[in-house]
Amino acid sequence: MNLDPRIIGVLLATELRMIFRDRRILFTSILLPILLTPFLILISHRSIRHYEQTLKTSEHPYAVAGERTNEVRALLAQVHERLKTNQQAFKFNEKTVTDAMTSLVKDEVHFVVRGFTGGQPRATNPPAAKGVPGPVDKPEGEAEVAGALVVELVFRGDRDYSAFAAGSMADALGESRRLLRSQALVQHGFPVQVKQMAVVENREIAQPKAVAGLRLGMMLTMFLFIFIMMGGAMVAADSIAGEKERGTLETLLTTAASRLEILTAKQLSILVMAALITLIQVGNLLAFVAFKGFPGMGEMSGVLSPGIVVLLIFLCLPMAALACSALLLVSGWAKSYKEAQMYLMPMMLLGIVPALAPMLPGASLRSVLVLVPMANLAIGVRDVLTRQFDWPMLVLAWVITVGAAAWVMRWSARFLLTERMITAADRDDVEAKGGLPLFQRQVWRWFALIWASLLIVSGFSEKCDLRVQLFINLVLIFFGFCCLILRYYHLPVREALALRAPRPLVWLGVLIAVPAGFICALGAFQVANLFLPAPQAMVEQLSQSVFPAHIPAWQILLGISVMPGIFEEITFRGVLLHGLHRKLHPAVLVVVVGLVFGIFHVALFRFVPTAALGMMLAAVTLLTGSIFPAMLWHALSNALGVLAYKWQIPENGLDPSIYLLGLGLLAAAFWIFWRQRTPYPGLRPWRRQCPPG
Amino acid sequence: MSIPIRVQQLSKTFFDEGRGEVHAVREVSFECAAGEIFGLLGANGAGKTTTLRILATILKPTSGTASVMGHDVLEEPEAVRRQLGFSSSTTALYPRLTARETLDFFARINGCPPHQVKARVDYLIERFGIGDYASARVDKLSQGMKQKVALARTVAHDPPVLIFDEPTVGLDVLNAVEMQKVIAEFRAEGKAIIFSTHIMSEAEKLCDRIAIVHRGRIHACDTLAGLRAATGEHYLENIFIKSATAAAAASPGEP
Amino acid sequence: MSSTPRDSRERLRWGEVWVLYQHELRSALREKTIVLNSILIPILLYPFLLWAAFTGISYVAGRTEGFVRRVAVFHWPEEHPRLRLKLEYDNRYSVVEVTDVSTATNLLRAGMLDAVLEFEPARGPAAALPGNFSARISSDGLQERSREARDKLQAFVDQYRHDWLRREAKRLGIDAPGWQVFTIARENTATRKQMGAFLLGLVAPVLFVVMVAVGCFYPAVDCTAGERERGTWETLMTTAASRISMVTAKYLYVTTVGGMAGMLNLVTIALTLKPMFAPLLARTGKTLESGIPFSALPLALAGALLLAGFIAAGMMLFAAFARTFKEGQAMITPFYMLILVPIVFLQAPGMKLTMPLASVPIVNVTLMVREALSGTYHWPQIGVVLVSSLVVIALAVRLATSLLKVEDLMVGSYNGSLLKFLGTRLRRAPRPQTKS
Repeated sequence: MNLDPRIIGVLLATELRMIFRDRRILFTSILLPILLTPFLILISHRSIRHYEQTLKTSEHPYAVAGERTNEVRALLAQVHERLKTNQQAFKFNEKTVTDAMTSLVKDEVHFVVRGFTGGQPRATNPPAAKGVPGPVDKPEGEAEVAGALVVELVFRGDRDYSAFAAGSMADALGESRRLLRSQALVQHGFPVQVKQMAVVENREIAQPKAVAGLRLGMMLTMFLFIFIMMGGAMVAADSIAGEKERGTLETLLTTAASRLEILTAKQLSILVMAALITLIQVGNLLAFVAFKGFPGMGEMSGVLSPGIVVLLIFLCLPMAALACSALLLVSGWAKSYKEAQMYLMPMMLLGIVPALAPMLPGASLRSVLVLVPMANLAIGVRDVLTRQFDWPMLVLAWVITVGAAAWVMRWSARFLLTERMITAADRDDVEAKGGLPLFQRQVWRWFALIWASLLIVSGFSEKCDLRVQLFINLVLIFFGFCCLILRYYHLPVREALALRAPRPLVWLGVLIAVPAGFICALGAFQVANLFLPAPQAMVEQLSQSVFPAHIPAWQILLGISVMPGIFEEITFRGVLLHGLHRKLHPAVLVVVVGLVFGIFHVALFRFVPTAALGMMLAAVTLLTGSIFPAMLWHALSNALGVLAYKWQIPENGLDPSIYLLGLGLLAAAFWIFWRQRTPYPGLRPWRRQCPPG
Repeated sequence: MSIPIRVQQLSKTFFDEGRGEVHAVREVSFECAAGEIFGLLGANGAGKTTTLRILATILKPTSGTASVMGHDVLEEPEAVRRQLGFSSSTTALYPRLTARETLDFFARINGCPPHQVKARVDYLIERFGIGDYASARVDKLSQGMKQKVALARTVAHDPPVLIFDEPTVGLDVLNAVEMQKVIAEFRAEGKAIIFSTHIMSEAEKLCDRIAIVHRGRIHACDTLAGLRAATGEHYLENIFIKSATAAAAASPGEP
Repeated sequence: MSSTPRDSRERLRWGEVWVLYQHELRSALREKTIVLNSILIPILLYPFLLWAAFTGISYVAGRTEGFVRRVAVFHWPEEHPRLRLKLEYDNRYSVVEVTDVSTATNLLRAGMLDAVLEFEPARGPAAALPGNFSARISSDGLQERSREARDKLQAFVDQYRHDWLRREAKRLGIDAPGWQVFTIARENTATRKQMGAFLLGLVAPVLFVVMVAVGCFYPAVDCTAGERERGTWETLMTTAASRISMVTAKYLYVTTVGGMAGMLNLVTIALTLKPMFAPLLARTGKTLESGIPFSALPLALAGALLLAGFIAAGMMLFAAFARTFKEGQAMITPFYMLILVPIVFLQAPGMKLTMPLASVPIVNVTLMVREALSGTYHWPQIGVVLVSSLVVIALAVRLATSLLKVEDLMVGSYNGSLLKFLGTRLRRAPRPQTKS
């Protein structure tokens, strides 16, 4: 299929003409942003400024308490005097109350100033309410000096004005003390002013332009992405899904224009709209900056030179193309306008994550991030704005993102060939029948739910005993959800969980595979460590939380090895595998099940080894058609981990030959599995078979 | 000159998550000559639309070949579509374009030489009597006018082959008759026309040859007279029922 | 309008409402879009954000772990050996030997060094103090590490000056309490729970409004314009149910779904807030507890329902004029945006539920929920909130039912929007109702 520019021109012109005749699109994508954005920015800017102003200018009542109230009052009078002469706006107001602390709780005063003698025992502050744990923060401040007055500012951190008032009072007191000390030194004949001692001067070696550029560069991609989404989403939803719904897509497909030409034209029309919106929004912002003056935006003016702007546009193009391709993909996948819109919101949430990459401290192009489309160019944009030109990496990032955009576009081109995707009408036998086909369709929904509940619950079970945590995670969540799924879809348990006996020799394979797989997973971890270094503190924290000293060894073995062996296998190699086995090609299936298994282990540094193990387990389940070898393997593998920890066997820095040996043994084990295979029934054919005849 | 439409042993199988493998079309073969209307007659879901979509290169066949004006649908899909006008009840018009813009767009996109486009569009507007409405937007047109525009758009690039997939579905009697009349005119102009329908009377009236499609197979293919002779029935409805039941009896295992 | 006697069909019958309501709710739970927007997104969004934050943090931690501040120091002041000792024995710093300042600056620029510290003896009047010096810290503002090193070095020198001053004071005969003058201490008496509630109050209300609006959006369009598009509207209109029952049932259904989305959101965000912020707070040595206090639950629930009630009424008013789903969406969008305007005000903390604010729709309910979450209850204002919201809702529902009595709206042949309709109707005198 070659691209005829003339045809694309005709298609594009028609697309744009239709977009500009759609009042709704014009209204939602162009008019509304133009009107609303400045308004929203203005309001939010004003309201925050108003709030800050209110805090500064409003009166803050306080109460004085403690043993040395008179001295405290004298001190505060000094502070007042100084603030008044300096015409500073902080207004503090003493209020006479019977019980200062009760008044604080009742919000009658914003803070309490307590004065007492340092180094002497004193009554602690009563907790705010009965039955609740004590205060968040330990009293903070300098070390007390015996005999000197201690001025304690008691406030409520959950009331912004209270924290603000106490903070400004502390600052004012500190300033007073500095002056007092200075006076004291001068009276005793100190030769210089305090502020002349050990003066520190900061020298910034980066150009101010570049520092300003850094701030811009951290957010530029995010804004770009949001603008593209705002401008492109409706157009994209309308462009394929809408055409399907109206039936014009079929008309278009029967014309002499090739699919690639059609897609290119659509892609371009989305790009044009996105560019238009971006221009409008940038103009909006600039106008706003010009009229109102954003704090810190003035210095931005020097950041952009014509050359930089051209380079930025060049870098942003693939990102815009990728975003538009993704929009087009969603539109091609959906059967109707409505459905397309439904997918857009989650896609936006996911898509914005890579655009945030430049905000990660320490994120650089010379890391694994260069391989992540969008994120790599986002970092590249930041680097360019800070005048760091890492040309080879920039080129690599550019190529990768362009490749991703092309790949996504090719993917959407495929949808135009699929029967189901072309016409809006679909007979939904699946919904009507229920059972396995319906589960296959909804499997991701279920696993997203399991994943979410795992995360939500883990926030609470943290403090519980390890045994309770394991019980909640494995039995209640994993097993509970599995039972629910099996019941809900009336799945036959034996088939769904692959409860079949494998051939006897398979067990021998498993015994070989356990240490081999363990070593290989460790190797994968070591390799991954090169790209994604694991924080040592987190690794240790995990080991400690998994192997607490006070639990007997047999219970640890039960909880860490046997139970996961059963319940995690039922969940992933049982239910998940069953739900996906007809949807995906076996090789993809193995990878996907492994990846999901990895994602369920939450922590980033555990992802690679667990995903590797998950893939091996999925493979053995597919080859033997039985879940039992995977269960045994999983249990023994985990047990091996526990024992290695117990006996202090070093897990990293093994000799390379050991990894090779592990790999060899693993191959041998899989050779056994292959020879003794009794494949999982109902898999997709390994190769696409020609139909009979 | 080669035969305008030639279909040989065409099969289409696709995978449906609910039903597994679905054989929508099985080993279908037929030909259609210039100046002929070839009818595909079958119930809903018989495989007519799939066959025609393969001919229009919207779908790819699983096996078998099909060619339009000597161009293979797999090898030269663009060339095929350039020779083809495709119209069905589901191929709609762009609501936000005017009638003239619609015709102009489809003429250009189908490879009509740019300098001839205007003349061609004017001719079509004249011929189908759309003159008064040529600059109104399609979504403002009445059903009958829309149908005229749709027909004009099908032949915008003057293709030698026309495919009509159940074109009269959803039309009222007057419009349906008008449509049949125009199709007959196209035949008179020497175009090769494939016409699918599940309405027996329409097929009886219009088609030179009729193929009876059931569950993806062609069970009988002949002129109306030939079919009557073969089955001994007079009404097409009865002919259809007879050959369909005979087919079901012959291959009971097929879904 | 009310001059003509109502016939029996116009009466509200709760039995009908219940049947219709169940029907609406059941079909909603089978509709992908509604399930996704009103149930799945609220449940999954926050755990996802939690996970993303956790992953990001562990990525950063992995990359920055073991970073020491690489510093090149020139011309240590001779009179201050302790300064040098302190820096060199601190294992968070690594003092790098570099031959001269310009090389060091180049290394700094190349990212091989984090900061360059140069000392020189004080000049001018400052030199009156023996051993006085000044320091210059060079850093690269483009490098996170370098900025951090600069701040830490600055604090290091400040601390040294502090100690030095104390020694000088002692030498001059000022005793420790006299030099101290007074000690400043701070104590936050808020409990972890209260801090958690405060944080929740900052984050949750905005999301609460957005999510109620998102939750209402699809059901509102689906049960009006969507029904027209599918052709079920007419089917429904030909049943024996009275129109007011129909509107009520649809309205209750939209409110339910919207309120549910809001509550689900509030609950999941409360559940995930702690793990989400814990790693961030851990760096500052603080902890917090989060969770919705049980005492706030009734008000939060009431808030969700009132907000949903208001938004549902508004959205249905706009969507009632649409004939297709898409059209309905476009008609609602301005209203949707309008709802989001007041919450921009709410970004700033410290807004209190005052009497005037208690009568502003959306803002009042949001503020009420926020205050309830942090344990503040202004009962008179809450009363005003409840009453004013109910009045607004009643008005909107009344308007919706009277609109739907108009024939061309009822059958869905009306072509235009709410504003257009009101414009033409208000200019004309209200006609007596003529249809049966």
